[in-house]
Amino acid sequence: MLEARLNQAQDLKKAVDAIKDLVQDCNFDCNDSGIALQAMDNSHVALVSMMMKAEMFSPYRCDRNIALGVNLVSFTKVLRAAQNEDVLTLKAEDAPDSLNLVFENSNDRISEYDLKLMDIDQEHLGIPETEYAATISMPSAEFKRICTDLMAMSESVTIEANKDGVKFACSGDIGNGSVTLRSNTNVEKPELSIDIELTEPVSLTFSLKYLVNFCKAQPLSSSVRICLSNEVPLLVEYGLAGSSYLRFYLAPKIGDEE
Amino acid sequence: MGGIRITSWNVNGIRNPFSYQPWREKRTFEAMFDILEADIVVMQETKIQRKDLQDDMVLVPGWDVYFSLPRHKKGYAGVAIYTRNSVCMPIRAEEGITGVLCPPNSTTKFRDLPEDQQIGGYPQEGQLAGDVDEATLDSEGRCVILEFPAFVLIGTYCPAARDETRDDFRLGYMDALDVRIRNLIAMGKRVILTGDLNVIRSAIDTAHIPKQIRMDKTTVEELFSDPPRRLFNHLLFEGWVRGQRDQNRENPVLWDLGRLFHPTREGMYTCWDMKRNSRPANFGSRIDYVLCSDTMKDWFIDANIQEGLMGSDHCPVFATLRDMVQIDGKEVHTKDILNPPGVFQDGNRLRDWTTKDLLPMSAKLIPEFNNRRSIKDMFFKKTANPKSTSTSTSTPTPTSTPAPSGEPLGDSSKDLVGPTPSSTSDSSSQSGQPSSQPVSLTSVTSPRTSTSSSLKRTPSTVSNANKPSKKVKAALVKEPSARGQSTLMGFFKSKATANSSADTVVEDDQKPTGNLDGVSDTKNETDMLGSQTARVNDNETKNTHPSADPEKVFDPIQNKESWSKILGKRVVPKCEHGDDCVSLVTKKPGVNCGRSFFVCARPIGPSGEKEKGTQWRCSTFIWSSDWNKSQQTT
Repeated sequence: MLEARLNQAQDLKKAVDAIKDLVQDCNFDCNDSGIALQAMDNSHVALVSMMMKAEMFSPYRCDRNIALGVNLVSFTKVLRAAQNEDVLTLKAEDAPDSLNLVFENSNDRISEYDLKLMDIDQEHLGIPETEYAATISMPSAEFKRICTDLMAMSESVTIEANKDGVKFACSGDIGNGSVTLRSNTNVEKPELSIDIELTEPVSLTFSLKYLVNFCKAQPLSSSVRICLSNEVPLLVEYGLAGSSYLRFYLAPKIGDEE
Repeated sequence: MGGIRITSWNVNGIRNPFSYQPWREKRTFEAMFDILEADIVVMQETKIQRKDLQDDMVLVPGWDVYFSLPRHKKGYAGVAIYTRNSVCMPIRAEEGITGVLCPPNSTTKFRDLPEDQQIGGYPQEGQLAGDVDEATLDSEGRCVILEFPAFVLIGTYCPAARDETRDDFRLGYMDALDVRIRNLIAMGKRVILTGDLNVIRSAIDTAHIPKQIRMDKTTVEELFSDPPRRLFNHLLFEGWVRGQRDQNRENPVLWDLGRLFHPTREGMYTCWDMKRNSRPANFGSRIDYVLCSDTMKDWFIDANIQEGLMGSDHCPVFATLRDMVQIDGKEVHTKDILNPPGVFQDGNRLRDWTTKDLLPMSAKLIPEFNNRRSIKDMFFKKTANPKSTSTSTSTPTPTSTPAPSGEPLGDSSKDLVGPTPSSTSDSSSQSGQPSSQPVSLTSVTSPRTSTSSSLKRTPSTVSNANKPSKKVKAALVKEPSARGQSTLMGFFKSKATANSSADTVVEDDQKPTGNLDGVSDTKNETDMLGSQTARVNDNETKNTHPSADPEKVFDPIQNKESWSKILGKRVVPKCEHGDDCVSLVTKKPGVNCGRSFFVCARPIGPSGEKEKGTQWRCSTFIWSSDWNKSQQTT
């Protein structure tokens, strides 16, 4: 039996919105520590990993491990019926055929939906904890802007981090462009700070289509963490309330020089 | 049966076949090509834009693909050639028939490339007769040319005979095709021309001849003297040419393989009119071909059409090469000469296909698809892991790895993070790992697998297969409602008639009740008379109650009837077979354009005409307006 109550429906709405274009169907794996999701996109280039810890909910109750196989397009349709400020409650049986959602607003309007579930056979990848060569924290809106701006020029972007800063560069049919950022600390608004931690210089190329897709998670968090290492997928992480997170991994493009 | 098969298919939309059996089962191109048993697949009318190319059509495992897509028109024409990497590997690839296009990421035309990089045989100045310039001819995505050491393969989609405005383009294109082929053969190259050529060769290749002769008051000779057919026959051995052969086309150069293996077969058609449903009775034409040059005529063991395979308004056609062929009197393994030197020797593979073998034209090199790396390869696969842990926890078997999850994870992370010295520093980081993220994952993962064993979760492909059926359902539901909508006009009309008839009914039957009056009446009744049941009975059976206001009276039966006329199932006329007719709309411009009519629902017969007294479409024809009138009067 699962029962999880979110004070703000928008936390779930925005998260599902952010991943629904990347993944069609996936399991929400629920256990006593929270609700987790891991799914690859069709082309197996990107991976989404979301963890909504039990602390995010009040109350949270899940006696047994339950896998909720959800079609995200259908899920979005149901979530659209919730207002951002509504209180959202998820309920499911132990071996559920459907997921029950209740949205309550402050005027005692109660709406209730049952979403049919599906059986999804999903491959789970073990994601090793990695120490990254470069970890960049920056405002999520800034990252989004860089990706969309460069997307207009080219299909892929090279992210190069060294002691001088981090450079996003691309070159396409119509020309080339780049954006360089340096560490800076904003005392008044710490969320606008840019922080670059570097253990060694790194330079990798990624598909912008995917990065722009990841940026759909921007409303979830004011800042984003980008981690890079050679021979390891890029990690783009949006922090949720508490230590919950929405992480995107992206396989770099194979370098031309070989 | 061995052999290397070249299949050509006008698919009428690259995904179109997936709506049909057997292609809908797997819905992958790999499976489609395996069912076709083909090694080279030439598709026409892909009707796709570059931006809409998807992973599943470009990154087909074990196959490479070359596209020619229209420069301007969207979702139009388009040719693709798929090659099976394990069998053949072209040495050059080009787009367009004239050589004026440029390779990807280059501004040098194919025809201007150094000789060792070009396929050659481009039309020279003065060779092309038509007015249409070369860039225009090649702007519609109609031709992909691959060169193998053994031969040049031209896969093309020739323009169809549509109307006079396109005649110049069509003839110009065929002229360019003719010139290029003759030039290539003159260079000493073998040529295979395949595709939807949109031209019939002789009377045996079409069912339309009798009607055309009758309608146009012409002769068979006339019909095959029209310029495109005449030109086509010039190309072919055993082609029929009236009078003197044209200049520069003194000799035929290609064999029609389908005909070569089936010299007298009638009804060997590859294309049918889908709107007239002429495929069941095989009222069609043969316009898809595999043709080859004279020096390789004996290389083939089979050529045929696959009229039984659905998926398009055309059927696939194919020709199969022998495993061993004769070149200059010497037996050669075909695979040796379908690959660059050094890949095959005596039919045995010497080296494997690698991404370095991709030609610049390959669609896999389009930036979106290029240099892809799978995230699966980068992360350690976990699927096997929970199993081994579960077995090791329940029964510690000596065969399974003693350390459950820590070790494989540690190994993989070592491999992955190898280059960064900080992370590989010591084994303590490895042992420390399980405590953090991986453990939370395993705890999430392992229950999932346990449920999967108990519940037998169905694979996602099944759920995918469910989706289309849903769509079909929705479409079915939609149709009647659309019909209901169309009779809204009828609603207004029938209301008027219902009113007038209701008046007469009131006079005759005196049977008033209705939504408004009914309520007020019964109220009156209960209030004033008390004996409710009796009164209602009275009201219903004897109908003596006088209506308060005759104009507002609605007869419930009338009402129901008129509603059911609107919302009920529409009555359609029967044809001569006694079956329901289908409703169609006139598309032909003229006074009747837009009018709908009913005709027999059966497919058109082998005569291509409506037939009397046969199982095929009968001559029933009723304008919908006439039918509706007749329905109202009865």
